[in-house]
Amino acid sequence: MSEEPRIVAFLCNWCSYTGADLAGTSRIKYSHNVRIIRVMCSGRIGMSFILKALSKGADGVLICGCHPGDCHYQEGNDKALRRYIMLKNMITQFGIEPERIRLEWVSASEGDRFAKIADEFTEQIKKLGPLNWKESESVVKGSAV
Amino acid sequence: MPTTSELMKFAAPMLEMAQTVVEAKGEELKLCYQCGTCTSVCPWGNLKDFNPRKLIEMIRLGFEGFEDDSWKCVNCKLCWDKCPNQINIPQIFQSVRSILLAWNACPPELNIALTSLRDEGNPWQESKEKRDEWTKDFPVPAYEQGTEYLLFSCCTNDYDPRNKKDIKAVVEILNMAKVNYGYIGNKEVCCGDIALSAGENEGYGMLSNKNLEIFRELAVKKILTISPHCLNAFKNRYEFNEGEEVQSSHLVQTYAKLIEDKVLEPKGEIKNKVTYHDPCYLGRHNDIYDEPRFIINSIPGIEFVEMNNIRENSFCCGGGGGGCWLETVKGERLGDLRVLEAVETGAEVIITACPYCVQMLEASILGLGIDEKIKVRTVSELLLSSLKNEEL
Amino acid sequence: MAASKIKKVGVFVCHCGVNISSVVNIEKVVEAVSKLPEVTVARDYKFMCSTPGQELIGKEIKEQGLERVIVAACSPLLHEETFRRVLVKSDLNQYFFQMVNIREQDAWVTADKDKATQKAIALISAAVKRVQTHEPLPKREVDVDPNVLVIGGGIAGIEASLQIADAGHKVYLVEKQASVGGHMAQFDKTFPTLDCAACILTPKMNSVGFHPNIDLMTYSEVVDISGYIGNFEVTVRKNPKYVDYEKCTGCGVCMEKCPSKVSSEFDEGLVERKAIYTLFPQAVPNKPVIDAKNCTYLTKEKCGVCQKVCEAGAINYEDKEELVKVKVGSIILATGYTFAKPDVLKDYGYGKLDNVLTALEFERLNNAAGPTDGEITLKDGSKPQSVAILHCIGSRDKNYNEYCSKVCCMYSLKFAHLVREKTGAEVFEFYIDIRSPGKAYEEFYTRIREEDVHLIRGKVAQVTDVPVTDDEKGKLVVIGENTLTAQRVRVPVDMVILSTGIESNKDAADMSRLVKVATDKDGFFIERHPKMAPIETASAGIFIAGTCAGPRDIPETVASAQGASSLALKLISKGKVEIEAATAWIVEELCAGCKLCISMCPYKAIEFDEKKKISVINEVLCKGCGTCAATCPSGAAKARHFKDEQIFDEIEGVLSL
Repeated sequence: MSEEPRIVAFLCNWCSYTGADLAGTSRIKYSHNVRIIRVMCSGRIGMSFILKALSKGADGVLICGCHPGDCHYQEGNDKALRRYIMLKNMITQFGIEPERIRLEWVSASEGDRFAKIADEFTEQIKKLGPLNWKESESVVKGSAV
Repeated sequence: MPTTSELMKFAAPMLEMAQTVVEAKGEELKLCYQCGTCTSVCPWGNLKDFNPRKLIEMIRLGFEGFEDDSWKCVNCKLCWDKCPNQINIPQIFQSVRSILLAWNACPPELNIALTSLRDEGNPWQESKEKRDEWTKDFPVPAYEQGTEYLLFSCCTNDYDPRNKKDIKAVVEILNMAKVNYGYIGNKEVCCGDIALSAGENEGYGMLSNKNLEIFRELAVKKILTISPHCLNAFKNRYEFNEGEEVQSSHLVQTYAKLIEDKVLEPKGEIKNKVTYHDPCYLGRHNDIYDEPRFIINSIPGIEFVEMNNIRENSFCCGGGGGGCWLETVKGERLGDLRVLEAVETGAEVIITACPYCVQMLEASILGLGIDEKIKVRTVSELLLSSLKNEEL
Repeated sequence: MAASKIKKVGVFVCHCGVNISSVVNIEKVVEAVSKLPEVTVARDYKFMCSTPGQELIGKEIKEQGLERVIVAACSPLLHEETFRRVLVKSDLNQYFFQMVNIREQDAWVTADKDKATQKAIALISAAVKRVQTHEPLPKREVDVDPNVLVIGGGIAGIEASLQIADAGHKVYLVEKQASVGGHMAQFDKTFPTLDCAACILTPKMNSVGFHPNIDLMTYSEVVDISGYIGNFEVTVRKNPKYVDYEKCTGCGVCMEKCPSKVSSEFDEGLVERKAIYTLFPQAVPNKPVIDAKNCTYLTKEKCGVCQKVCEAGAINYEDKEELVKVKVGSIILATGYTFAKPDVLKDYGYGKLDNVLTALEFERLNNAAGPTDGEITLKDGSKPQSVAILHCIGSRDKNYNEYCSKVCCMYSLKFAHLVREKTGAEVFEFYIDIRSPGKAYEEFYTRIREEDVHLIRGKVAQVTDVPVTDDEKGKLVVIGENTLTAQRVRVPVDMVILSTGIESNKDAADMSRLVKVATDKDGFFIERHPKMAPIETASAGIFIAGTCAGPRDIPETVASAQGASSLALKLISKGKVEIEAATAWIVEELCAGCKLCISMCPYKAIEFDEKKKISVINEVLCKGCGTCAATCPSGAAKARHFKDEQIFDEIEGVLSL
């Protein structure tokens, strides 16, 4: 299993999760390594989710939300973006390659795009190799962001 | 007395055949819904019964009878551009050809060129040592590491007497403009476009690897091509490694820039009525339409007229896809139609920018016996005439 | 929450026929999840959503005393509601449920069966962990406002409005143009019955205009929608008409006298209209508007003729746009389509050669109320001797629209009939496939063949006026292949009709943002389920009717409009609707009063309690996006049903295998 990358994907309910469903109904195959967790809005995806995932053995984290301007909750995706930029800097300071997290906008009609992103990201994480970042829980809780 | 089964005629699907084509990169043929757009736009349709749609259907089901016609496609790309299913139809014929080659079912005259390619690195049955012969009395700077452009000459320009005139014009212009370029002489081998078009994948692999090796050895960053076929090979077909940033461009792009920057100032009047023939590999394959027209229009005194079929709808000379190396019977030459179209505009000169187009159009002019009426010149030749204030 | 004892979980794995079970090894999945300490029972069934499937779950809940339920099947977007109802029936709170998507996001997207099985186990494990901390959430019910908003006044919007209004409820019908009617009003005859469009449409248009329950807002646009199912608040912008409709009698003198002429969009530019105009003579309301861009008075303060001639004194150059707010319980989108004008038209000489028409231009030319009073003539006024009709222009073409526009085959056959009937011209119809699946459609196709229309199977590649024979001189030459004889053909004709397809509106993306209904790659609204919920959308209370959801012909459009109105009426007749209970709340003891959440909340649902110095969420306004929970630095803001610990559990679970 060690050579198989483990990827957690957080998808917003309205655009990206529906988009991922469309990849399914279109029978587009993509990397099985990507495990999807549904949240209502990409704005719900706090930094603690990503840090938790990385600390629990994920080698990469994918965040998907509605395209700018299309957020079901007006501007949650915008907040996700700002948080993502900050988070990239933060994990770099922890010694983690910033390429291990990725934010993408996936609309409900972009099943093929979601599959492509999932495959590309898996490849990218494969290249980076396993993360093995077992930071103490306190970082996750203490960061409280 | 024949048996009944000997008399009965029918076609039976031979799905293995279809599968072989699919596996040889011809998988897009599955998408065809038989609308006939390709047949309507194919230049061959004007001259003979050639039907890409029907061929695709025959190949798809493995019906016999597609073999001979599969060598006809000149890779002009018009069908691919218009196909509502975006099927790369020329690629399907290349796939079929690769299979036919494996069965030794290749037109003999093309086979000669392919053999020469393998043995001598050029299709002209000439020795590889003689490639740079034209530079003996016509010095050309050698490419060394650090030279900005590698001038990739193309076999046709190196060996064919007619086209040697063109490359000499190229060299003169580049020297006048003080472009930092160099030539690699006998180290160059054919870009492999003919081999690829003929389905000779092994030969193509060998040639492209040889060139890639040289490019790497000399750390080439920018390649200047004279033939759009070489340009297309480097830009769209060669497998450069990731991170290898090699830029390929065509001479007309360089000229246009030099004229725009006023490095070259064509001042000599050319008092001819000219038209421009878009080479398929420069136009449709690489979207270069404006630069040659810009150069022509920058020449003082010139009268420029367009033909009916231009730019995206340009009509092929018949030289691409290996067509240059095939025998074509009189009355079935695409070049004839193109030359006549040019004559009908009243032009005295056809300007073009591809050595194959020069070959094909000039052959048609001779064949039609109208060399008094019209002639073919390259963009380089036109530009040089103006720069040197000479007659075209 | 204090550490409590493990809650009993039941896991139900669906085969979905063979959809899941042909890829995921169900037996292995059941075996693996049975071993989890939290799992009391794990069962599988062929169709978990079927009645026996639901009964199986209900039975296990009762018999095993299950406290939490997990169904691993299709997407929760499809059947979460179904299974939540099973819990409610079994006296369990519906939020004690979690659905695991092993069809759309596993079986259908994973090539390797072992990996797919492994993934299914991991996803279910995640749910098993997650449900432990699920909390019972109370039902949230709201009253449904019985008013309905219909956007778009074409045949779809007209039909939906009439159904609801006739049922006794108020409808706000908003139409961008100066009249209702839509594209159907531009047509003359309709296939396959050849009844005239005006005869069947005009009475309905009039009903809409005069219906006491319909508030018709023409020349108006919806600019904002807030709220949720049952309680939408909609802002409509009434664009200035510069004509006071209270005073205007619709006498038409102003239009007669107006000196300013512009090309008529209703007539596809074939003729001109005035700057003060009605869309067409039967317009509803049959009162004019002033096109401000082209009115000499409004642009240069000169002229003023219309004001001078208006005896009713209805012209008001000072008219301003007006914003109107209305409250509705549901919304019907009936925004229609546009006819495609793809770049490929230039290959067919469109815009360059005379007598090359698009389908809609031909509709106008042929219309009894059109520019030629319905005579099919060439630009020089003469009758065509021969006409070519070219199918699939920009449709079924990956370079433009890959999809089939569905109506073109039939309307093209209709054109062929009309040309034959009115002019006797020879008609050459170039098609790829004739698609005539509909009531009496195939019979219509047969009739056209009987009428000596020359059908040629092959797509036309080019139309040119460059002749190669004497016959072609002065003609339009159509070049294509007759694929059935494998011959390239050139047909000289007098007129070419390009059968252009149906395309989504240019502003579909803006409308999508406004109503929060996603569009597909072609700009058509996405239905909640393509088969089982083709009129509902992912946004509760918003329905789609007609061609804004994809190419449809008139019967289908009317049927979907009636469907949409019935769904709106269903809501009204129920009077109440249950809404998502997963809102956010703030733990008083943890809140430091930093107000960060207040600045982040998109719905202004958080207020600051000045006495306690903490933030407080107004649950009526909260939509449950969870942004506050992600933002709160002290962890005081919590998102119900998506709490940090629930997501953390899920993370651990999905990474467990």
